[in-house]
Amino acid sequence: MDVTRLRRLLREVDEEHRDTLRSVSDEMEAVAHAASRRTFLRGSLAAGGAAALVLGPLASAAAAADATTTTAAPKQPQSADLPLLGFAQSLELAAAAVYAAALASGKLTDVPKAVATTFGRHHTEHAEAIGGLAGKAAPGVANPGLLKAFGDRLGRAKTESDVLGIAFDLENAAAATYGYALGVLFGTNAAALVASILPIEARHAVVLGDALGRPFADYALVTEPNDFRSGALDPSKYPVGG
Amino acid sequence: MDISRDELRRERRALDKANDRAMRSHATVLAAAFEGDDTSAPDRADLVLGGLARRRFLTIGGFSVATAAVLAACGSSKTVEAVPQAGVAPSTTALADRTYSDVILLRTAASLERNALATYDAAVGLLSGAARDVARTFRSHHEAHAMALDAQVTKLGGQPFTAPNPVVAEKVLTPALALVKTDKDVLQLAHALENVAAHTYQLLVPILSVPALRGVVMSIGAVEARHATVLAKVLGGAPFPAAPSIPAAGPTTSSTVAPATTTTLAGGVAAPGVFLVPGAFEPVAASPVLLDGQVLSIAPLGPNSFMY
Repeated sequence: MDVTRLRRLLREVDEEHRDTLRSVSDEMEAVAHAASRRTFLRGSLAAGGAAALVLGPLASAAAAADATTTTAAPKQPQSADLPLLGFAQSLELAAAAVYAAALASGKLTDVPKAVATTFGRHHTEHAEAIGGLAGKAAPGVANPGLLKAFGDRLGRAKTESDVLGIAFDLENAAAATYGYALGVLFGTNAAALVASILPIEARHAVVLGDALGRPFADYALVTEPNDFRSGALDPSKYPVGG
Repeated sequence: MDISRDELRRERRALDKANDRAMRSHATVLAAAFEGDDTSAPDRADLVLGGLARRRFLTIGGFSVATAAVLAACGSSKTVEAVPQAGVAPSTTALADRTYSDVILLRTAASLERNALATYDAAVGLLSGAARDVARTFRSHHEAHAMALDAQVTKLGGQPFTAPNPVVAEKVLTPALALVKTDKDVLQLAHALENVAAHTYQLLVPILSVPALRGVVMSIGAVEARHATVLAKVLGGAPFPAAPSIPAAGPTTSSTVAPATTTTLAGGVAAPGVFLVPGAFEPVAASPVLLDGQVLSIAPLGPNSFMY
C-alpha cells in the first residue's frame, strides 16, 4: 500500500467532511433565512444571491415554490425544474466533450485513457438520463460556455497532469452544481436522478485527485457538494443557449 | 502500512483539531440559525417542516414495496417449493400506504451513522498504521454526521434517535463482526458499510418532503461515497467495472486497468469486486462483502429498519 498517497487521500476526504459540515450549516442558515421570508426556497435563492451566485434561470423556481409549499412533493419535474435540468444536461454533454477532447489530445497514457473513456461515457449516460426526464426542455447540446471555458484550458494543457487537472476541476464543479440543484428541485424524480449522479461525480473527483497527487490546499478549495455559494456552476454565466 | 510513532501522533493531533473545528463550527451555526429571528414559532415550524405542521405527510406507497427489501445480510437463500392449491382464494385487503415523516427518515439516518460508529469502534483494534488513521478519521466524520442529523430532528420537533439502528445491529453487524478476523476484513466491512450508507441516503432523497433536507442528506451521502472510494483504493480495488467487451477484429492491446469483477476462492466462493467508481449512477443495490469465506449482502435501509 502506498502510505503517502493514502495519507494524502485521507486528508482530502477529511477536508471534504469539514466542508460538508459547513455546507450543512449553510443549509441551516438558509432555512432560518427562509423562515424570515415565509418561504424556504426564496430564502435559499436569496442566500445564494447574497453570496454572489446569481442563478438567473432559477429565479422563477422561487416564485413557483410559493405555490407548492402546501402540497405533497410532486414526482414529475415541475416547470420550475426544467431550466435547471436543461442546464444539467448541457453540463453533462460538455463534460463528455471535454473527456473526448482530452483523449484526442494525445497526452494521456494507458490508465488515464481508460479513466477518461469511462468517465466520459458516464457523463454521456447522465445526459441521456436527464434528457429522458426533461423531455423537450432538454437542449440536447453541450453547454457552449463550458465548452469554451474548459476547451480553452485543454488547448493550453501541456502535460497529462494538466489534462487530468482540468477533468478534476470539472468533476468537482459538477458535484457542487448538483449539490445546489438538490436543494431547489421540486420533482422527486429529478431529485432522485440527481442524487444518483452526484456521488459518482464526487467519486470521479477522488480518483482524479488521487491520480494527480494534488496538494491538500487544492482539495480544500473544491468539492463542497451542498455548498451552493462556491464551486457550483452558475447557469446565468453559462447559459444553455450560448 | 507501518509508520513512525511520531508521525502517528502528529496525525492524531491534526485529526482531533479538525474534528474540533468542525464541531465548533456546526454547533455555532446551529445555535445561531434561529437566534435573533422574530418569525413566530408556528411560521418557523410550518416552513421548516415544509407543511408537515399542517399534517402534510408524504405518501409513498410505491416506495414501501420497492424498498421493502430486507436487510439481507447473513440470510440464506433457500428455495421455497410451490404448493399446489385449489379452491377459492380468500379475499384480501391491501395494506394502507405508509407515510414517513422527515423526522422518521432523519432519525433513521442518524441511527445508521451510529451503526458505523459502533462498527469502527469494534474493529479498529485490528487495524494499524495508516489504515487505522483512516478508520479513526471516518469514525469522527460519522459522529459529526449523527450530531448534525440529531440537530435537524430536534429543529423539526422530533426526538433524536441516539443509538445504533437495532435492526442493522442485530441482523447485519453483529453477525458480520463475528466473522471479522483480519485487517482486510475490517476494511472490507467498512467499505460495504460506507456504500450502504451512501445508498441509503440516496434512497431517502425522494421521500423527504423538503428540498433543503434532500440537499443536506446528500451532502452527507456524497461524503460516504468518498469514504467508500478511499477504502476501495486501500483494498486495491479497480477504478471501475470492466465495460462489456466487444470482440476486436485484430490483435488486442493489454490494459492495466482491466479489472476482474470477482475472484473465486479455493472453497468456490466468489469474492465481490471492489471498485472506486461502481458505474455511471450510484446504485442502490445491496453491497456484498466477503468475510471469512462467506459473502454477506447488506441492503440499504428500508421501512423495516426505519426508526419511527
